[in-house]
Amino acid sequence: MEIKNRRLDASQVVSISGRLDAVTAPTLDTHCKKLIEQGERELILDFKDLEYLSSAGLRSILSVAKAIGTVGGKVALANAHGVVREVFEISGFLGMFRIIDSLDTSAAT
Amino acid sequence: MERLKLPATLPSLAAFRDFVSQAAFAAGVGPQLLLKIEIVLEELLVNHVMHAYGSGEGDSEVVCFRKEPAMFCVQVIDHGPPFDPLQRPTPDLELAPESRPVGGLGIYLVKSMSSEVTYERDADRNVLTACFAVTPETELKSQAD
Repeated sequence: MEIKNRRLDASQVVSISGRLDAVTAPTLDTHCKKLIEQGERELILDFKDLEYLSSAGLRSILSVAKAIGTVGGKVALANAHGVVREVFEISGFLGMFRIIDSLDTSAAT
Repeated sequence: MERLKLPATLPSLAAFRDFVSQAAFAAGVGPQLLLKIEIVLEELLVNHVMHAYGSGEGDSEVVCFRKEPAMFCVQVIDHGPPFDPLQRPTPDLELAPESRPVGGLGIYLVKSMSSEVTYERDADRNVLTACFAVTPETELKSQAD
């Protein structure tokens, strides 16, 4: 798994590539919580290059959402496709988070 | 039938995954279905790491086999006390992030992603068997292209 950040207006886009599983999920958790500590209040998790997601990854995302929620911030999920989107759908995450299907067009609004 | 036995620890996950991928590839499973099989495998193994042996150490064993008609099955076995994770209640999928418990989704994914999943207690072993229908669209495309 690889994680990269870029700024997009008021948001910090966190791009996650590869596999988000029980081994790598804690890294995402730590990474995002550091951004929240640094004052970020809008995180967009970009899954364009993510090919695999298990419940450990869902737990990290949920944990980050709770952490940013306590300081008045929000998490959005972007560009999920294939089995990653299916996992979000099964687990109810599609109804729970703001979903961005095409990150670049929604960024303009 | 092929089997692999390793310590029930997170670092074993990669070796189990390779083992199952090879068996699935040989059984004609395509890349999309393989990802689902890998998710189910991970959830069942992580369940062992967290629950099967308390704070002690033990082994996980994974067995792959084919079943007619056109099913690929993965069996995950531990020697812990009797425990059927399939009895876990379905998590409430409607709750907002703040009130949602952080656990409980793994077994739900297992049930959702496999065609059938069963638990049995066989002597001193917990045996979870997840089977996947290898339908034409999930089959590996011919090597021609």
